[in-house]
Amino acid sequence: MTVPVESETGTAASGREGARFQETKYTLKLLLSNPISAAGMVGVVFLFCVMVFAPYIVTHNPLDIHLYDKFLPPSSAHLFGTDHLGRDIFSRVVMGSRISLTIGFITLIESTVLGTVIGLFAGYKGGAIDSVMMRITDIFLAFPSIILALAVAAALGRGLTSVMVALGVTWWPLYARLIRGQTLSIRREQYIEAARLSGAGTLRIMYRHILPNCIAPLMVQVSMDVGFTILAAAGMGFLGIGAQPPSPDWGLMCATGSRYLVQQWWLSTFPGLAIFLSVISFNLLGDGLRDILDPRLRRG
Amino acid sequence: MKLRYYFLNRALQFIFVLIGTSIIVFTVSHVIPADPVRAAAGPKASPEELAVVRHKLGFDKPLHTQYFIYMTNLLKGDLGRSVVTLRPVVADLTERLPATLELAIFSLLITTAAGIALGILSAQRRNTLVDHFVRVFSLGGISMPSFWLAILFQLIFFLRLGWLPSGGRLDSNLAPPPHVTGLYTLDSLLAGSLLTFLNSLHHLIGPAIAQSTVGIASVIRMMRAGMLDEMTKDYVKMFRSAGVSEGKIVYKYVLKNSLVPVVTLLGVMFGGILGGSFIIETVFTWPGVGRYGTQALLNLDFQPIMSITLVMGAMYSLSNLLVDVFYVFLNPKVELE
Amino acid sequence: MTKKLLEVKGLQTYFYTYAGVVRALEGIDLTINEGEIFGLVGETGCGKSVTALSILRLVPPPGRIMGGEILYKGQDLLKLSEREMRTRIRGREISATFQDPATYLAPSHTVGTQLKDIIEVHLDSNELKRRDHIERRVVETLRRVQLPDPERIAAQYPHELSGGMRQRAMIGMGTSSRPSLFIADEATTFLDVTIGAQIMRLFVQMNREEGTAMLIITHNLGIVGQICDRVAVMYAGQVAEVCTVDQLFDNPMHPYTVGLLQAIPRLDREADRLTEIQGTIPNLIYPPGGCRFNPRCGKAGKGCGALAPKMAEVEPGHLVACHLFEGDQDE
Repeated sequence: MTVPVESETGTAASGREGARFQETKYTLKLLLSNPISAAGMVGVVFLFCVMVFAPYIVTHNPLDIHLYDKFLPPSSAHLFGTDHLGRDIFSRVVMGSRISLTIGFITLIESTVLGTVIGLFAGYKGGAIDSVMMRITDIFLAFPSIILALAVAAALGRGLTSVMVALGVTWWPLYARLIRGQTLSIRREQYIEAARLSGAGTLRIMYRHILPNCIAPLMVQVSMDVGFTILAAAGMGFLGIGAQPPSPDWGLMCATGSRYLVQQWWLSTFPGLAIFLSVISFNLLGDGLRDILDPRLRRG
Repeated sequence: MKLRYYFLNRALQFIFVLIGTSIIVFTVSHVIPADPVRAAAGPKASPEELAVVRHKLGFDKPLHTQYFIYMTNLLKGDLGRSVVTLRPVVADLTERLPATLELAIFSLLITTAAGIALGILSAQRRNTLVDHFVRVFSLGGISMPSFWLAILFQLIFFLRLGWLPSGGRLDSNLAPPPHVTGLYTLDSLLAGSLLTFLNSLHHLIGPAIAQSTVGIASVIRMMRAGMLDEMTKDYVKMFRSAGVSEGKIVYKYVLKNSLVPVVTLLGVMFGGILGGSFIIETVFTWPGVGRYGTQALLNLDFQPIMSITLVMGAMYSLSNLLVDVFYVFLNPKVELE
Repeated sequence: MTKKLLEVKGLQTYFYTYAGVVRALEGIDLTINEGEIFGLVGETGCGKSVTALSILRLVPPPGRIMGGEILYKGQDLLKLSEREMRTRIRGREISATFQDPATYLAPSHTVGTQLKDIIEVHLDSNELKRRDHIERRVVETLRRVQLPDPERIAAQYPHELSGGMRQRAMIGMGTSSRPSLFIADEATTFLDVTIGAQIMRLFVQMNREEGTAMLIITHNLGIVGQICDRVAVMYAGQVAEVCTVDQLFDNPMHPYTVGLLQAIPRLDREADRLTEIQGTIPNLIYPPGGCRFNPRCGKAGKGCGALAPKMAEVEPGHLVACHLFEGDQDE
């Protein structure tokens, strides 16, 4: 007498790749079913489209100066009005999306890669290496992140690259800590011991066994951090450290616009709104993702 | 007994971090810039001035000697000189620190009180209209760029409604109270001047609320998540099975256990407030360290930038130390590290 | 003449999760008499704990009690208001202790504080004013569960106590107002064998001295054999068999029960391999139809997958839910 084993999802998926594909599909399904995270997804996708198709969406050249048209309020000709140099704000905001999103993603890639490598080594090797690396991480975390980023950016000189390097330098400790924690708990699992006994080298173990298990919490953290990164970069732009004029950086636009607040409210409002909507989309998505990846809520 | 070791350990850790902080600031100021001499002297320095700075700050000496000079200067209280104000940075900072601290304290108070209260409300009335509203509000709060919020604040509450002053710590026709702590609110109370006290509060509202918006959102979310999480804990089931009322379970036990991560968050928020002070103080023309820092950034006035970084790093570390100490009182289990 | 204390009839409890509806309890029937020690056995996940929670009406969302009756001293608990449950039933008539005393005691307050809060629930306003009296009751409760130096323990935090002491403290909390029915959910699972044995002795003592009926939930048949009077065997949200302990070991009827008993390793028999029950426990979102054990049952017949069997009395006091023992059935 043999027993037919009930399968959970009812679909036959073979191998590890098949299982992971099922997980992704399931996650996607859950994401779209919740209105909050669905809204977030829509926002993020919209943002990406704007970024990619920016040259086709702009109504004017973002850099064109028309001094006779300065300070025009929002109208059908200029959706967001014009600034103090007569440049169309709508086009500038659209183009600015490229800057903001680029900073956000490059910073995150930098910090996740750096943080993951350090965290993996620290967590896996343990002992002196771990202590030293964690002390260094602690020191970096002793600064409010923006302050350190400002200092580094100032030292490197103004510009977009400075901001990206500065933010990467300040953000990696967070990921190092996260990955280290994960590595520590996974390291004690018996299958790691088994792999080592069967001759697998350190790098191989890290890559094949530990890393895949870190992806989920990493993803959650990343999705929550994208918003913060964009905000931080915008803040630095506001303070004049980031992209320099005439670049249509959203933070910079808010800063220049704040001078004319009394009469021309639209100069600062729209770039700021763009930042707000972008960040909130990422945060909604991140929230939804976190709720879903919470193992308690997922299964019965 | 174990507690004493914990405090000692923590204090040593603090000192170690301070030293590490100084090393990082040193690295950023002496190693990273392409020309650290020019960075220290300012972009407008003449070649003679550059030579003077080079010799005075010891940039011609090897790196470890430079660090030694740097540390001795630090301990002497010499943080360099600003090329904008032409005064020692220490003097500039001492003058401006109370303003920033006063704003920070008020922001923290608002954040804590409002955040915890709204978080409890949200958790208690889970999934009702109130909860959804609070959650949307808090999500909006952490998604908003602080400068944009500050600008909107100015636009609405000053320019359009005239409810709040445009900036500064006091109306221009009022004199600041006699200096005791540097906190106008406290000093005016000590001097018995009610008008000054109320006026300084009036000026604090705008920037403090703008400062705290991000923080409130974080506290609400953490409080709500913490309480909901705590409510699933087993001891709640135990108390319920014994017939203990929900009110007692929540307000005596769940709350205390939920506050723990919030306390840690407060330390982080203080850091966020320090970092955000650059922007908020600029928009509200608040004469604090943050505004000083913004001006330094615009002028690439190097010494103040680095000194502010160091000082704020130290302050942040200190606040984390205090948080850790307080944490022990809330959670007696922490001895078992 | 034994009086019925608790009568569960047709209890259904479902959990509405993201993945689907988990049918945790599908028509449970149990009867516990006054003053008896009743064991509830089954594998992990068969619904034992859910049964306990359902009796106390503490099933957490997304769970809901969907149907059935829980008659306690003749009154249906499912029809009482939440307030009545809290003030009259929980902690006073029916109370519980759970598996992991580390998590079932709040880490932030001393044992004494928590015990005091529990005691105070069932005191009236006059009694509440007498602080010293309450303090004494705390100490007395801790002494009753054989905790040495109860005054000191009352002032300590849960993490300062050993596992056995914590479990006793929890039992004290559960029995402080002398309930008529005490539910012990896997009370000894996380304890050493010797400590567990002490706890078991404590239960027997409480039962004898105070006449407290007990519902002992466990997956350990050894415990059942040692202290229980009667026992119910559960499988996948259904009751398979209800009988006295002697009947269980001497004359098990349900194929699942038989399989369980055979799976126990025995020192007095030679064996090369341990006997096992083929297959695994079913997914409760898509459970097998009819008798849920039928896919694994060696004696399953055509009707077993179609219709859930009703409980039939095969000898006095011995009930089995299996088509093999119903009067009429189709092979």
